[in-house]
Amino acid sequence: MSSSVTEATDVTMPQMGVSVAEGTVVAWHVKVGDTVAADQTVCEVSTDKIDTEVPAPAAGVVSEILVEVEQTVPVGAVLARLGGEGGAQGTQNRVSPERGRVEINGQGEHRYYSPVVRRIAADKHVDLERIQGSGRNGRVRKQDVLAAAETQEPPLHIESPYRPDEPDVPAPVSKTGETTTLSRMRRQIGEHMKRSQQTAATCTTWAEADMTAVEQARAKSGLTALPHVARACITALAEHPALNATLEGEDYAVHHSVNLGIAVSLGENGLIVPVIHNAQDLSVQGLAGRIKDLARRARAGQLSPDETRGGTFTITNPGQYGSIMATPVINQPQVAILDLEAVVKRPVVIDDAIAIRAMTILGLSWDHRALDGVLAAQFLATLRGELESVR
Amino acid sequence: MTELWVCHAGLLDYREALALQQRLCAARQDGLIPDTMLLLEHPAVVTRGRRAAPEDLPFGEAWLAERGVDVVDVNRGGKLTYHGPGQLVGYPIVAVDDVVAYVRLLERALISALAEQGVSAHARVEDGPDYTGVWVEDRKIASIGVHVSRGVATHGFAVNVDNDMAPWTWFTACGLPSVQMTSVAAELTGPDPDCMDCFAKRAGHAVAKELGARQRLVTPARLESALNAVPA
Repeated sequence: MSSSVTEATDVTMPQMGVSVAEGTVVAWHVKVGDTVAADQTVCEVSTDKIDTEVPAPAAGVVSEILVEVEQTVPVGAVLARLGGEGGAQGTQNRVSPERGRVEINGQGEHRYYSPVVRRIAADKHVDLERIQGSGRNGRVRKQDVLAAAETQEPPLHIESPYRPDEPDVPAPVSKTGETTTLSRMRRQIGEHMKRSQQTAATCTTWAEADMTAVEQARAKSGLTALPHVARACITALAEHPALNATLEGEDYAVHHSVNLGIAVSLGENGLIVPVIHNAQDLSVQGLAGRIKDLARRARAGQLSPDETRGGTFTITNPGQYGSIMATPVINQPQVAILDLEAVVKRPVVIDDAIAIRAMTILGLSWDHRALDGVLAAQFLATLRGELESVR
Repeated sequence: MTELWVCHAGLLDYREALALQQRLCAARQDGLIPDTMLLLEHPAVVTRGRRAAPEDLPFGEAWLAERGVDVVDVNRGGKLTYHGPGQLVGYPIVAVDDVVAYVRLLERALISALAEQGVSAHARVEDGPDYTGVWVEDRKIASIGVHVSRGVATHGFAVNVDNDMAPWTWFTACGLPSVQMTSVAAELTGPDPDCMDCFAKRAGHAVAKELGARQRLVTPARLESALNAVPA
C-alpha cells in the first residue's frame, strides 16, 4: 500500500451537542480535486434546524466525498477525505470492504483477513472479530479459525429444520434502481391520507350505472363525462344533504351549498384538490368551464389558497387509464368521496334482453362515523337515476 | 459576568439585516465584539432556505408580491418561514459549542419571556427536530433556526407578537403542513398597544439571563461604530 494513507485526513461529522447522535449533510462547498485550506468550510450539516459549517481539519486536496447532500450519518462518520498536499491518491487505493480489505487509518481496529480465512469462518459460523490471531501482528490464520470452530458451541438453531431464514442483508437495490427522498408534496399528501385513514371509519359502496345517456349528451356537448357526473352528483347531494357535510371531532356540519372538490393530478408532482364553491349554481357547461380552469391553474401552480379550501364533497376521476374500481380515501374533514372510473361498453340485461350499454362503476367511500351504508346506497341510487336520465 | 449586547434595531429590511448579521458574525468570530443580539421586525417577507421545495410556496412569488410580501432566498438550512411587522425577530450572534443545547436555551428564554407576558408556552423536544420552537398547546408561537459558522451562531428566533396571521396560511411553514400558528395577541384577551415593545424587552432580558450574561443595551449607531472600528 502506498504511504499516502498516513497523510490523508478525514473530515468527520462533528459532535454538535452532547445529545446529538447524527447529522444531515445539507450542502457541499467543495468538490473532489479542490484544494482547501485548514479551517475552510467544506460542507454544512444540519440537526434540529441548526446548520453548522464543517471546517477542514487540515489543508489538503479533497480526494473523496463520501456522503451526499440530504444523507444522514452518525457523529464521527467520515464525510470526506483530504489527501496531503503532495496529491495523495486515496481514491485509487480504496477497495470496497466487500472485497476483503479494509482501509486502516491510525490504530488497527479493522483487521485484514485472507479470503481463505473468511470463507472458512463463514462456513463454520465463526465470528472472526472474536478470534485472537496467532500470525504475525496478530493476524488470524486458517488454523485459528478451525480451532475456534472446534471449541465454539454450535448456535442453538443450527440443527433445527425449522430455523428461520437469516434476515437477508438488505438487497443491493441500488444496482437496479435509485433511492430518493419523498418530495414535500408527497409527504403532505401522505400525511393527509394517513390522517384520513386514522380518523374516519371508511367504507366503500359501489353501484353500476348505465352511462349511455351521458355518452350521448357528451357527444353532443363536446364535454367530458366529468362535468355531467358532477352535475348529477350535485343534484343527488341536494336530495341527500347528509353526504354534503364535514365531521370535525364530534361536530357534524351539513352544508347548504355544495363546494365541490375535484382531484387534479399534477403528474409526478402529486395531486391537488381545487374546490368549486357554490357548485349547485352552475350548469354542466359552467362546471366544465370551472373544472378546466382550475385544473389548468393547478398544474401551473397558480391557485389561490381559497380555491383549495372549504370543500364539502369531492370527486376523483382517475378512470382514463381503464381502471374500473377503486376505494378512494375521504378528503378530511368531508364525509364522502365519489370515485368515477372508466366507462366501458358491456353486454347488460334490460327487460330480459341483452343490450350493449356504456357502463361504469361508481364508488363512494363514506365515513361510518357520520352515516350508515343505507344512506350511501340511497345516494348512489339517486346519482345513478340522474345519470341515466341525462338529456 | 460576560456581557450580551442587545440592540433594538426597529423595522429593518431582511436583506439589510442579513448583511448586518454577517458583519457581526465575522467580528464575533475574530473576537472583536462580545456576544450581540439584534432585536427587530422585518417588513413582510417569506424567506426560503436551501431545503425548501417549490411546492412549499404553492401560490407563487407574483401572487405574494401582489400582497406586499417579498420572497428572499437565503443561504441557510431549513425551509420556509415568514416574517412581518408585529413579529419579534431575534438574531443572537453568539459563540456556541453545543448547538442543540443552544437551541434548547433559546426555547427556555422565550418560554420565560412569554410567561412574563402572560402566555403559557412550552417546547416539544420529545416530538423531534421538526418541532423545534415554542408552542402554546399545539399551536406554534415561535420559530427557531440557527446557523453556526466557526463556532458563532447567526439567525435565531421569531416570535409572533401581534402580527397579521393570514400570511402564515399562504405557504407551508417549516415543512409542517398541518401546523397552526398563533401569536401573543391571539392568546391574550384584550388589545395591548404596547405588546411589542414590552415583549421585546422581556425577550432581551430572558436571553441574556439564559446565557448567563449581563444585558447591555446598545444603539444601532453604537453597534455600527463598534463594527467600523474593526480593522477590515
